[in-house]
Order: sequence, then C-alpha cells, then structure tokens
Amino acid sequence: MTAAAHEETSEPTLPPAPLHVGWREIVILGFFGIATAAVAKVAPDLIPLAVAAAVAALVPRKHDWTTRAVLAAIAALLTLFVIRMWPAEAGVLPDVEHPPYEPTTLLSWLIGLPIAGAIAILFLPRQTPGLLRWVTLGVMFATLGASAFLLGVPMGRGFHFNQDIAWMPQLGIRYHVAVDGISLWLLLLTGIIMPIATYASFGSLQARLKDWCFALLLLEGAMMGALVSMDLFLFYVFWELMLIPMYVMIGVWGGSNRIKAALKFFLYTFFGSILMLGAILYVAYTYGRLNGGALSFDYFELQRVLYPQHLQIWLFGAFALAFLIKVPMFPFHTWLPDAHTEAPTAGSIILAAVMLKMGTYGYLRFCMGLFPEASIQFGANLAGVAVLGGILYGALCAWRQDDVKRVVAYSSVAHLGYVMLGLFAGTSSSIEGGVIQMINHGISTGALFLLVGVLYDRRHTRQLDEFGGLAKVMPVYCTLFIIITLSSIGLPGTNGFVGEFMVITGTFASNKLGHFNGIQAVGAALGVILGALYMLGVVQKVFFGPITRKENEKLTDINRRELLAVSPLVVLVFVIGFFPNLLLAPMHDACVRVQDDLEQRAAEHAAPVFYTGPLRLLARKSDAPNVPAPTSAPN
Amino acid sequence: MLVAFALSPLIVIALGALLLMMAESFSTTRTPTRAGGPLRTVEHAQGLALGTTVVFVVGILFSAAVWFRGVENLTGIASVAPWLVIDRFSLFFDGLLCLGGALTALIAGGYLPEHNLNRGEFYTLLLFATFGAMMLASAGDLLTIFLGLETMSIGAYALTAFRRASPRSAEAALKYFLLGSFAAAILLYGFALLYGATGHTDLVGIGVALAHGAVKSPLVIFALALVLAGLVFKVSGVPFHMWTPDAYEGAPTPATNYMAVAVKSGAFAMMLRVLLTAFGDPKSTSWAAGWPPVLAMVAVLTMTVANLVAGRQDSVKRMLAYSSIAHAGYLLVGVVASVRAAPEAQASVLFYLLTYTVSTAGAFGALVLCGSRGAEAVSYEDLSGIGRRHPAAALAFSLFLISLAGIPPTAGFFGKWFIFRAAMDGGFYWLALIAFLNSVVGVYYYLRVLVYMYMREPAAGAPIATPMRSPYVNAALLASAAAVLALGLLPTKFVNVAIAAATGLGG
Amino acid sequence: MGAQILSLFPAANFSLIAVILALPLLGAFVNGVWGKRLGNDAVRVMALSAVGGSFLASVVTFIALASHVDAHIEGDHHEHVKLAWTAWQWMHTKAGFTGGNIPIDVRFSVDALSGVMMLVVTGIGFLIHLYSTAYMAEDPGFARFFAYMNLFIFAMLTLILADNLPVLFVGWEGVGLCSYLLIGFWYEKMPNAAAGKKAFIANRVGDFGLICGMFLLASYTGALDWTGIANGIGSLKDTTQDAYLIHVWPVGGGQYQGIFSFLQPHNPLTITAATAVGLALLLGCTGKSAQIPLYVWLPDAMAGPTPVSALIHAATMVTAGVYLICRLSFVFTLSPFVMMLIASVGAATALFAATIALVQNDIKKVLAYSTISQLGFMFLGVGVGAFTAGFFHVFTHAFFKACLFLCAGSVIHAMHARVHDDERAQDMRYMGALRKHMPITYWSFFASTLAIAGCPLTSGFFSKDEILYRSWVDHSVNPFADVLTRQKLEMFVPPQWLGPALYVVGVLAATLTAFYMFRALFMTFWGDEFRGWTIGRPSLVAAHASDDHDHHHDDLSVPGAAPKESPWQMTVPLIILATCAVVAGLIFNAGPINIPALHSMDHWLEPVFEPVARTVRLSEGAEGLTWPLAGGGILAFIIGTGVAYWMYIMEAGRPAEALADAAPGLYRLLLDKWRIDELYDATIIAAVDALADTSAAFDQTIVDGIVAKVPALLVSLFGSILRAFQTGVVHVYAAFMVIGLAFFGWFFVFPHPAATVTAVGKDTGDYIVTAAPGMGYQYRWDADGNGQFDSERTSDQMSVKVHLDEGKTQNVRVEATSAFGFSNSAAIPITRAASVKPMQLGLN
Repeated sequence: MTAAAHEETSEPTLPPAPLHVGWREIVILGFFGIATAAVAKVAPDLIPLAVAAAVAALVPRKHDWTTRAVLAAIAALLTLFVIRMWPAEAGVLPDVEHPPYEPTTLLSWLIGLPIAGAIAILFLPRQTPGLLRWVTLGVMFATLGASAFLLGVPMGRGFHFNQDIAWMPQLGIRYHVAVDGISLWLLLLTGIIMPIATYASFGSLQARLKDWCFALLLLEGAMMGALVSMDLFLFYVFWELMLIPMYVMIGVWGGSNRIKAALKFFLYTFFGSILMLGAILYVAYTYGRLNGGALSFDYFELQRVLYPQHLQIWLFGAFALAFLIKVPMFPFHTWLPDAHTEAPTAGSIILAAVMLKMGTYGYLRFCMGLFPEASIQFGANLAGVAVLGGILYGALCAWRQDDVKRVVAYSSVAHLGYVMLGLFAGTSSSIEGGVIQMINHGISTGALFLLVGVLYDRRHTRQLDEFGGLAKVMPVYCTLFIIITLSSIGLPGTNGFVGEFMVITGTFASNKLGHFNGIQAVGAALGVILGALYMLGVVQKVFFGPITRKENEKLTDINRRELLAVSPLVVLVFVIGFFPNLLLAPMHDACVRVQDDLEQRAAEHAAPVFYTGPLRLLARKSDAPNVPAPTSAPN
Repeated sequence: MLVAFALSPLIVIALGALLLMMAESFSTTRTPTRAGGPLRTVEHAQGLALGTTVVFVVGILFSAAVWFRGVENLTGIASVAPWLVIDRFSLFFDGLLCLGGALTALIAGGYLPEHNLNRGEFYTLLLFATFGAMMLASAGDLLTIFLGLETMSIGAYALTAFRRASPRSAEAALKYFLLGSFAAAILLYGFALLYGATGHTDLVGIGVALAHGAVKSPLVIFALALVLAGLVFKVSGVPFHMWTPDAYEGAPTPATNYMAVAVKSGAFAMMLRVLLTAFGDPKSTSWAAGWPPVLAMVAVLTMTVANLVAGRQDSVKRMLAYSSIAHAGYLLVGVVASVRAAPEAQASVLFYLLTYTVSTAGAFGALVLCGSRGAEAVSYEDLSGIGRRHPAAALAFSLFLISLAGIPPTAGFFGKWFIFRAAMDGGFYWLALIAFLNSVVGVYYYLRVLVYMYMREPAAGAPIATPMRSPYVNAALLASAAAVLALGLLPTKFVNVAIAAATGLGG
Repeated sequence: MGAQILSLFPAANFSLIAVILALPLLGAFVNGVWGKRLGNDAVRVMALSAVGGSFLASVVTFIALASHVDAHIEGDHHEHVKLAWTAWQWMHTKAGFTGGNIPIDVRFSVDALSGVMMLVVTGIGFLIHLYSTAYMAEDPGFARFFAYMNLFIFAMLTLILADNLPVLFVGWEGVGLCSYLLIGFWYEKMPNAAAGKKAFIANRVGDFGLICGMFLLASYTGALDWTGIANGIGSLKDTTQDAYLIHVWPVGGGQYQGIFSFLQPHNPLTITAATAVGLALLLGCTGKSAQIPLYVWLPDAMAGPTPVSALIHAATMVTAGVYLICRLSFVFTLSPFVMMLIASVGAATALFAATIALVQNDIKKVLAYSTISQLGFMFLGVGVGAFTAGFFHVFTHAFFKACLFLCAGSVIHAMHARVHDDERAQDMRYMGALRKHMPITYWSFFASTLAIAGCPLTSGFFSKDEILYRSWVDHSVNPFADVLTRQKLEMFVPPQWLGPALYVVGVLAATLTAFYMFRALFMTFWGDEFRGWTIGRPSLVAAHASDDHDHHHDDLSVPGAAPKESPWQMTVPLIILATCAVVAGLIFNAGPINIPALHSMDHWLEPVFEPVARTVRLSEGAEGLTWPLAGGGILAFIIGTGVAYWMYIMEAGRPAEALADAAPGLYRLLLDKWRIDELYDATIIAAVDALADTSAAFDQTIVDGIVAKVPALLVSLFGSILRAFQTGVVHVYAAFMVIGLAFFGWFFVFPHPAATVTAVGKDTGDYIVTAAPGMGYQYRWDADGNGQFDSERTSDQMSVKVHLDEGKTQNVRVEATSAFGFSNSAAIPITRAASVKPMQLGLN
C-alpha cells in the first residue's frame, strides 16, 4: 500500500478535533437551514443553490473541492428533482392554451446520442484513455440531461413524445417511439445508472478501454431504444441489439469462467427472443389479414386484435417465455448467478439495474397489453411461481451462497419475484408497486454490486469467509453497505419498503389471482423475513466480529471515485423512501390505464374459457396516440 | 440489337473471360517461384484480379441497365426463349452472381499471391463458371439448363483443384467431381424421362403438359424424383450434402467462397425455375403427395444436421461449410413456402441469397485476412487473440458472423425474417418453428468464433496466424460490410427488387 | 398557557410535533456524520440538547393537549381529541377489493395515549442520555453511540406519534434497527453481532405479522389511519359475505379436485377477518414486546451497553407492542378469542420468565427476564380488557425498570474499574455489601425493587394489583354477538375459569418477582463482605496504583481500591427515576387512594378506550372483591420478600444451594432458560436451514441441469454422432445419395391420401371433403362412413359431399391409388358441433 493509502487509513484514528472546529458545521448547518427557509419564501428557484452550498460547505475536510463540487451538484440536481416533482406541483394540469412543449425528437436523441457516441469512439485513438473516458462520460451525461426534459410533461394516462416515421412502409414497419408514465422512470433509471457504472468501472478497468467504452455506449442506446419502442419490430431490433455488448462485456472483461457464462447468458436470452420473433411475425400477419392486407407492427394497432383463446395462449406463451427468461423467473434463472459472478462490476450493475427490467417491462407492456385475457388467466398461476420460485426459493438459495455476488444475484431473483407478483396481481397499486420496485431494485442492487466491486478490487475475492471485521478498517464503506442492505431488505423509510408494501397490499386486494390472493400476499410478506436473514448474514460475516485475516487489516476505506459513484444511489434510496409520490404521481394514471385495459377485457371474456369466437379487430384504444392507422401497402 | 442488349450481361462475362484468357496466356512466367518472386508476375496477376472485378462490375451494370430498361420493352427476347428466358428473375440472378464473382475475385486477388498460387487461370475459370451460372439462371429449357449447369460445375471442379500441390485439394476436387457427375447423371436421366413423358424440353411446355394431366404418370413421377435429387445435390441438401464439407475445406478459400456463394445461388435459381415452372401444377405441388413435403423434409434434415454438426467442428472453414449447408436448409424452407405464398416466398429466397452472398463472402474474406503464407487461419485456435492483433479484421468478421447468425440490425436478420415470414404466411408453422430453433443452435458456433477472437489468447508456443494485408481483400470486406449494414437497416429497396424479380418468375 | 400554544399551533396543524421529531434526527445526523471530528464534548452537547429540546417541546405539546382536552369536556364525558400534523403525502395503496386508492400520508398526532408515551420516552430518554455521557465516556465509539441513541429516540417518537399504521411501521422497524445497531455496538465481539442479528430477525418475524395486519386492515376497513380504521371496523365482523371471511383451510376456500381431494376437510376452517387481523397484529406485538414465542432475543440483547438495555429493552421499545394493542384496542376487542390469547400469552410469559429469573446470577440477565415477566403482566392486563391498567403498568414499569437497569449499570461501572472481564463484572456472586460503597445507587435500586415487587403504595403496587384484580373480574364479550347469533354462526366464548386461572398465575408470578428481585438486591448490595476483590487500605492501593494496569486481570487477590459511587451524571438520573418509581403510583393511580389534583390515569385515558368499554363486562359483585383480590398481591409481596430475606440474609444463601443440590436437573434447566433456544435451533431454525440447503442444491443440480446442461449435452451428442458419418469415403457419400433418392422414389410411388373438409354455408351441416391431389392418383370414397367403400372401382372423383346432423361425428374414408397401383387409405373424422352460439362481443 502506498503512503497515500496510509494517509487514508490513519485519518480516522487521529485524535478528535478540538471543540471550536466542531461547532463550525453545526453553525453552518443552522445558518443554511434558516437561509434555505428564507430563500424558499422569497425565491424558491434558489433553493437548489442553497442546498448545494450547504452540502459543499459541510463535506468533511478530508475531501478536496472536486468532491465537494460533484456532491453539491448531485445534491442540487436531486433537490431540483424533488421540487419539480413535488406532488402539489406535479398534480397541476397543463392549461390547454399552452400545452407543455413536447419535442417529438427527444426520444430519438436519447437513443441516438449514445449510439452516435459509440460510433465516434470507434474513430478515437486507442492510445488516449483519458479522451475515451471523457467522451464516454460526456455522452452519457448529455443523455441524462436530455432525459431530464421528460419530467417537464405531465404524463397522465397517455403516451408522449410520439415520433412515428415510416421505416419500411410496405412491410408495415415503422419507427415509432413514445414514452408513458411507466417507461419514463425506467428511462431515467437507465440514464442515471449508466454513467455511474461507467465512472466506477474506470477505476479498476484498463484493458481494451476503447472496446469497453464502445460496448457501454452501444448498450445504453439499445436499452433506451427498447424502452421507448412502440413498434414491435423496432423493439425486437433493440432487444437483440442489447445482447451483443453485454455478451462481449461478460466474455472479454469477465472472470475466470467468463466464456461459459457469457454463452449461457446469450443462448438463454436468444432462445426466448427467437420464439418471440415468431410470435411477433404471427401477430403482425394476423393483423394484416384482418386489416385487408395492410401489415402493421405498431403496438397500438396490434392491441386491437382480439384472439380466440387457443391462439392467444400460444402467442402469450411465446412472448412471456422471452420476458420471463430475461427477468429471470424460476426455472429459467440459473443463467443469472453465473453471469453476475463472471461479469465485471459495471457489467453486473447494468445487468441487474437495467437489463433485467427489460423482462419485467416487456411483460408489462407487451404481454399484458396485447394478450390481456391470457395474461390474467396465466397470471394467477405464474403468481404462484413468482412467490414460491422467486421470493421464497430465491431468498433461500441466496442464503446458502458463499460468494457475495451470488448472494446478490439470487436476491435479485427474489426482488424481481415481487415485481412480477405485482404485475400478475394486476391491481393498480400492485402494478405501481411493481414498477417502483423495478426502480428500487435498480438502485439498491446496482449499489450493492458497486460496493461488492469495491471490495473485489481490494482483495480480488468475493468469498464471504475471506472477510470479517471490516467495519473497523472501512467504517465509511461499512456504513454505506449497511444503508444499501437496509434498502434491499425493505426497511421502511428506504425505497425498498414502498415497493414491497404496495405490491403486497395490492396483491391481497387483487381479484385476478383466483382465491389464492391471500396466501400469495402472505407468502410475499414471508419474503421480508428471509431477506433480512441472508442480507444481514452477509453484513455480519463481512463487517462484524474480529478481523480474522492479516490481509484485511491493511484494507483502505472507500476512495473518492467510489464514493462519488455510489453517493447518488444512496441519496436516491432515501428520496424514494420518503417521497415515493414523486415517482408514483406521474406513473399512477398509466398504471390505472393498464389495470383498466385488463379488467375491461376480463369483464367481457371471463376466464377460463375467455373467448372462442373468430379473430376480430377492436376499436383503437382511446389512450393510444392519434397516429393514422396503416392503409393497404403498395404490392 | 435489342436481343444483344438483353443478353448483354452474359455476353459481357463471356467476352471478359475470353479477353482475360488471351491476356493471361500471352503473358510470360507462369509460375512465380515464391514470395518475393519476379515482381512483374505479381503485378500482372493482380491486374487480372482487378480486370476480373471490373468485368463483373460491368456485368452488374449491364444487368441493372436491362432491368431498368424493362424486360417488357425488349421485344426481341422472345426469339431466344425458351432456351434463354430474360426476365427480372434472371436479371436479378445475373446481378447477384456477378456480385458473388466480383467479391470472389477481390478475395482471390489478395489470397493467391499471398499463398503462392498466383496463376491467372483462376480468374478465367471464375468467369466461365459464372457465365455458366448466369446461363443456368436464365435457362428455360432442359438442354440449356444442363449446359449451364455443366459449365458452372466444371469451373467449380477446377477451382477446387486449383491448389495442385496439395493432395487435400486434389482429393476434394475428385470427390466433388465424382459425386457431382453422379448427380448430373441423375439429373440428366430425370430430364430424359421428363422429355419422354411430356414430349417437351422447355419448362413451360412441360408445365402445361403436366397441368393438363395428359401424361404417363409413372415416368413423370420417376422424373420428378430424379430431378429433385439432382437439384437437392446442387444446393447440397441433406442427405446429398456430404461432399460439401470436404470440397469446401480442401479448396483454396476463394474457391470455397465461390462455391458457397455463386454456385449455390445458381443452383437455387435453377431449382426455383424448374420446380415452379415445370412442376408448378396443383398435383405436383400437392402438400400431401407432391414435391413440397419431400423438400420440406429435406429442409428440416438439412437445417438440423448441418447446425448440429457445425457445432462440433474445429476448423472454421469447415464450420462455414456446414453453415452454408444450414443456410441452404433455410432457403429450402422458402422454396417450399413459395407454393403457397407466391411471390413473397420466392422473393424471400432471392433476398436471402443476396444477404447470404454478402455475409458469407465477407466472412471468408475476413478469414483470408486473418491468415498469411504458411500460416493460413483455418482452425479456431488460429483465430485466438485476433481481436487484439487485427482489430479491424476481427470487427468485420464479427459483423459478418452476426449477420449469418441472423441478429439485427444486419442483413442476415432480414433474410431470416423474410424466410420465416413467408413460411408463416404459407401456414408452415412447424417448419418455421424448427427453423427458429435451428437458428438458436446456429448462434452457438458463430459466437464461438467471437469467443476465440476476443476472449482467448493463443496458447503459449502455438503457431500464431499472422494477419496479412491486402487492399483487394479490404475492398471486398468494405463492400460486403456496407452491403450487410445497408441491407440490415434499409432493406426496403432491395425487397422491392426481389419481389419484382420473383413476380417476373411467376409461381 | 395551553390556549396560547393552541392559538400558535392550531390543533389540526400542530407543527410543533415536527420539532419534537426533528431534533433527535438532527442530533443523530450531526453526531453520525461529523461526530468523530466534533469531539466528545460537542457530541455530548449535541445529543443532550437534541433530546432535551425534544423533551421540552413534548411538555409544551402536552400542556396544549391538556387544555385542548379540557376545552372539549362536557359533563364527566370528554370526547377523544388529538393534535395532528400532516407532513406530506407519502404513498397510496388499494383499499379493499372494490375500493379505490387510499392515500397514506406522513401524518402524526398526539392524543391522551401517545401524549403520555411521548413524555415518558423523551423524559426518560433524556435522563438515560445524561447517564450515558458518563457511562460511555471512555468508549472510542462515543459519537457513534449517541448517534444511534438519538436515532432511536426519533424512531420511537415516530412510532408513538404516527397517525397511521404504515408510519407507525416506520418507527416500529426504526427502533428495531437501532436496537440491532446498539446491541451489536461492540461489534468486534462476534456474539454481540450475532445477538443483534437475532434480535432483528425475531423482530422481523413479528413485523411479518404486522405487514399482514396492514394489508388485511387496508383491504377490509379500507383505511390505515386510526380514525379510518375505527370507522371501518364494521366490515371486520361482517360474516354475511364470503369476501369478509378468511378461509384458513382449504386455502382461500377453494375446492381441491383430483388426487388432492383427500386434503379436503369436512368442515372448512374459516375465521372472521377480525380474528385474522388480531392474530397478525398480535404476532407483531409478541415480537416487539418479547412475549412467548418470540421473547428469545431479549436476554441476548443485554450484550449491548447497559444504558441501551435501560432505554430500549426496558423502558420504551419493548412496550411498543402493548402500546399498539392499546392503540388498536377497538380492533382487538372485536375478537374475544384473540383477547383471550393475549391474556394467556401474557400470563404464561410472566410466570415463565419469572422462573428463569429465579436462578440467574448475571444481574443484567435477572433484570432482562424480569422485564419479560413484567411485559407479560402488561399483556395480561390489556388481554383481559383492562387497557388502562395495562398501560398504567407500562408507565410505572418505565420508571422502575429503567432505574433498576441504570443502577445495575452503575454497579457494573464500579466493578469494571477493577474487573475487566464482562462476565465477572456483571456476576452478582462477585458483589455484595455494595450499599456501603455506593449508597445512592443502593437506595435507588432499593426503591425500584420495592416498586417492582409490588410493595404497597409504590407505583408497581397500584399498576400490578389493578391488573390482577381486573384479570379476575373482567370478561370480554363479543360486540357482534347479536349479528352472529342472528346468522346462527357459532361464537367463541372464553371459558368461565379463565379469569381466576389468570389471577392465580399472575399472583404466582408476582410472588416470584418479589423473590428474585430481592434476591438480586441482597446478593448485590447486602451482606457483610464484598466478594469482588479484597479491598485494601488506601496506602496499599496507592502503592499498587502504579502497576495496577498491568496485572489486574490475573489475580484479583491483590488488594484494590473500594468500588466508588458513580459521578453525578449517573446518580442524578437514578434519584429522579427512583422518586418517580415510588410516587408515580400515588399520583396517577386509578384506585381509591390518589392525589385527585391531576387527571388520574384512567380518567385521562377514558376517551381513548371509551369505544371498547362496552366490550368488557365486570362479573357480578366485582366491587366487593376489590380488597380481597388486592390482598393476593400484597401477600405475594410479603411471601416473596420474606423467603428471599430468609434465604439470602438469615441463612446467607445456604437454602438456595441446598435446593439446587436437591433438584439439580431442574436447577440446570432453569439456569439454561428451559433450553428454549436449543429447542428452536433444533426445530424451526434447523428446518429452515435444511430447506435452504435443499433448494440451493436443487438449484445447482436439477434446475440448471434440466434447463441448461441436458439440452447442451444432447446437442453436442447428436452433433458428434452425425459427424461420425462424415467419413471422407466417397462410397459412403454416394450410398447416402442413393438412400435419399430411394426415399424420394418411395414417397412418390406409394400414395399418401389426405383430405380437407370445408363446411358449406354457415352451420348448414353440409360439408365437402376434398382429397389432396397427387400425380396419377385415383380415388375411392366411403362418404357415409359405414366402413364399405361406396364404389368398387377407383375414379378421378376428388371430392364428396357429406351431410351431418348436429352433434354427429362421421368417419369419411378416402383411398388413393397411385399410378403404380399401390393404394392406401385415410380416415377423415368430421364432427358437427352441437349448436352453440358464437360468443357475441360487447365491444363496438
């Protein structure tokens, strides 16, 4: 260890500073508290600045101005976010004279910026790591900034930022992107997680930096695209496009057993998605047949098709398989632990935080949107799988892992069990809970992988029995880890609780789970115990007790880069924990829309034999963006 | 005059072949000793490569010209019918075959000098074989079909045997030749029976005769079986495929590429024309007892066997051979579908051939680029760490493999997309399903190449295939890559072309 | 004064609550983030000012509340009023199966009940903070300790002041977290960390129950805030519709078909929502309040610093369960069964814990088990419907138990000056005669012991005897009796003998309490000689002072300084608490003798428990029983004290040893706490362990094997097999070609008949069967399905027309003959469905 490292370790053991220094912070804090209050009265717009100043002033002296600046910026952004999304203001309806400005190209920017950046990376010299790093981060922050504009528009039930361009007209393939209250948050999550993961990865990763940056940017573009595609063909293109970069990330920068894990990851997902491709084709051509030969892959057009039961079951199956493999749900989850253990830190973060959400989002958007009856009929059964195979089974498996990453991987299986349960239950609050649980899982699991990576960089092992008593040598790290752990086990006040609570209550109040809603809610609640069991087990094994190994005595505490990377997530844990309405308010109407669509169709065709008539074309949904239906194509 | 214009693609290639033969035969020093041999030789051979490419490009241009002039405006073409049918279908194949030939020529231009095979006959053979293939594509009469077929095949045999020094090459050529002539005999026998049964040698006439049913059924049935066998051999469908891996592996890589790209396209052109024109009547195309179920069976076998075996290969070249068989399987699915979903199904076959041509040529080109004299890149191990040593080639290789695997947004994806779409449109769901599952298996061995290129480092002390440098191959790769991306992102135009061509054929 | 406050902060928006909550949070934040650099003095100031300020604010709030209550008095009945403050809207959830969304606000309120708790928490909390400033002075984790403590105060206040269940849950888990952190405060010792985890998990089990209670309440009453629940409780007992019944078995009331039908009971087990909610909440309360079966964490929790034990594990947190039962009394009383369960659990725990406390030698362990036992008394009280009495015991217990723990801490502190081994420093067998050395500690301990033992006129006496008395005379009645009887539903009625039985158990537990508490007192403070170490003359001590720190562990025989009384920061809280322990009862009790100037507790709490008053019926002649029953309590005190005095003072502990030798098995058993921990380890925990092992193994082998490994294996296997055919021999290749050709020939030579069926018109019953064409095929038909072909000779006829009646099935057969004369036939079953209307769609 270097002298600098020594500095860091010896810092906490300094004799406590004299009293008069200590008062400074208290005074400043009080002062800024008053100042903020005063500012809030006179000029509300200045609040973020005040907060930023306060944070900057209150950062412990140990850190230099860059840390302060970045932390202040983060604080200001979050405050701005909070103010913008404050229920009182979010609830304000737009006046019809001046509807909020909706640039139709915004979403294309979100997709295009990263991909353009990726291509730009290709032409940068391999020998200039600094340049590569900054370009990558710059592009990502630009994307994040652009995605902030999404918050300016009250979402409501409908879809916004529609951009609909004919791509291959006579095939009915269009470039149609749009965002609603649900995908909005996943977009923002992607925008936030990507730079964090990237920044964190720069600390430990040097090999083939150019390829790395390329993969990261391409991946971000693809994920953004998959989240906003409203054309099934387009969605499929992005869906597949996500695979290659992640495959390469695992395979090239991964651990010892990386190649097998990468192939496993790829083949699992590809198997599911190829069947989905078939279903997409079938759906489109069915529509074409009903619509006098005019094909369409447009989501809102395909929503109009009403399939008889036997057809719908097959199509639903093909779609659901693809998504459930991605989620992943029992029994298709075994690729996840392997992929996570082998993937580099950033890869794990992205995989867990964003990529898995593609499965849940896809199920919510496409399975429930296109095949309502089937998703109600099978949701009742799949919910059982989500509880037993996901929440409980995943937790039990997690408890038995001795590799920290595997623990977190299996905990993902459990957490996504909650998400899927919420979607299957299909009540507005359970769906909201599911969506917010997606975000929570992204934040807490992403942060967990980040922190595990910190440990791995120092000791190059993740075996639990290699550690012990780290709380003494890495106090700050220990604190952060415990905070994230608490959010992961759903302690009220952190984000985790909100999602779980809404999912569980919504599940119990669901009328779509046969008569098993009660037992499933109880089972989900049981997961709360198991969650505490395995996560606290990890905390105890890693941080508490005496330091058993010599190599652990010299470990340095979390450094500035890592602190900067993880701090936004830690802040978000509490922001969402205490002000979940910031997220819930914009997504509420969208989730109600999903519930209404389900129940409207369910009311007309009740399970188990819901509809046996011929294929029919229904009216276009009222919430669909008003885009002209495709007319018969030339040929 | 219009006739000459209509036939101009064929004429261009034929004349070009003759000219190059002259130029090449009047040149001195046939056999350059070794690398760093007489500089003149190399120059001159590369001149040949360039010239060949130019000829092919001109061929493409002429076929395009005829296309845009519009076959319906060419009054005189009736005079060559039915021996040569000049329609959009044949023009499409003229262009496609010329494209394949051009790419092959470029690859050869880099490969031959590097591997000390720099003899000009290669290009001449290439041109003649292509001429045969083009003739095959536009032939509307059994005689011209056989003529074109043999012209093409003999060229292919010779190209396979081009590496005289190597016994493997010779053995491969011999196998190819033996089995090829066996198949040709079968085909010829089938033709004879067909003539005997219908009294016609032109496909249309045969078709009409069969449609009216006034024929001696047993003969026709035997004829159908024999012709089918011959056709399936030419497209190397299971169980008539077994020559393919050996021939492909033994042949010098450009020749392999040519076989995989042009010969296969020609064969498919022949297959479509014969089956849909001569055997297009409801009885022959009956889903219960006609040729479609047989062909479907063959397609299933071809896809499955080829994909399964390809996964077990150690040589990339051999793997690509099997992958070409697998692609033949997918194409057969399209052919089967074309009895119900005309013209989209034929169009899908045509389009698939286009995407397949550029992807495969690119893949072979990249493979060539990865090796150098004495250390040709053949096995997976040879490719270890190429991603580091030759990033450009590796990137291109990955692109083409991804396209072959059918992952968006590349050409290959759209190829599959249209084939599957045609199958489902025709109601062949189970056929489509098997094709889907097979493409999952396929992904495995294509990605294995990426694994070796990017994720493995060569074993200590293992002979490292040092990449070669050649502007020709680079040009080929650039062209193919551009095509792969263009076809992947904006296939609309090409789809229209394919559909127009297929409509010209008429199912 | 209260009026002015109310004019400042209106009752509807009483934002002073924000100050009460914010100050401890601020303290926790500052101490937690910058504590290390602030230095101990600043930390101390921060912590004390935070809690003190919070206490002052609470006092002000309480005054305002009192005046608000007085304002709403008419006659002797005063309605239930509260001061509320809404911070912001937190989230929302679905209310009921039909109801819309209910908002869940971050809302706090102070009423009579929470007001008292608030004062207790902040007041005692402040004293214990003060105490800790001296007790923890030497500890390196000084700042961390106070950060946790302040955080705990914040969480506890959140729990108390919450106006709805979810917000209460925030505090509920918050205090659990703080207890987790503080138990494991000295985390270098693995046992402490383990104890912390154990506490958290046990509490989580309870929280599971609380979560279930929440979604049950949300679904049935359509609300989660106190007022809303109170308004909606009607549906909890609504047995008229199935949606409001909980089918325990078969799950959800489903009917099992097929092989599982044997699981079907004859009469399904069904409970009312009220019982379900009660059970769920009760589970939560047992977890937090350390009752059977979840009490096991509390004894281990003593691993934390002693002030923590005093604050969290005696005075405040562990009473949260009782508080919740009082808070939702109107829900619990809906189900007499749950009430009986609460009472029984309480009584059982009281006795059970007391027996264990009899033989413990670790002073903190004794107090821990006495805490569990006292909590049992509280449960007994609220269980029999005497909510006021139960809560009053919470109130008094807070004083004397906190005092006892602080005294114990003071003693341990003194012992620690010389004995650095924790075990030994807390072992009463090494104490004795401390009353000479630490008089203040002794007198406070003595006072509190009197109180807890129920010596007349001390606070413990009033609260405990009230509980005992009510446990005999109270009978809870089902408030929905009439509804149930009208529906002819069998209704649970607690047995008559229950009251007396509870009383007897209670008295027994009280006796044991008196005994073990005085035992502790005598062993620690009485006796003639101090057993810790030999106390030398000051001169000798001075001589040893130099090398004292080197070898104090090894031999304590070396004379050392006498144990010293603790500094004022520690003694002052002792005195205050001891005083309260003695007089609190006199002032606030409900009984005949009290100082009427102030609200007596039950008068003060009357509005809170007014709704449940009618669910409790006194047995006839209860008034007459007041003194006789009180006699039991007094007797318990006298007996217990007397026996303890005889055993440990007159006989100097010999009888105790004699007893231990007489029944060694029983003695060991008690010493090992009835080996309940071992029992749990062997049963539940072992089961979960096994389950986890199984599933982990199952995951790696079966699941991964079937989904991933086997297919991969198959693919490669078939690949290898097929590859083997690629021999490179031309003959083989040719042979395969011939085989293929032969297959083609076979396929064409042998006919493959097939046919398609098309219906004529719409449901006319006419069908046209068309044979698939084939080159040179000739056909024969069996249209009527009689098994005989209609014609002898084949023809070109490719289709036949068939008519079917509804619901009929007919087997049409077609025979195709190829040009080679081979023939083959196929059967085409045609079915005409019985007439069903194609479903009409409502939409467009």
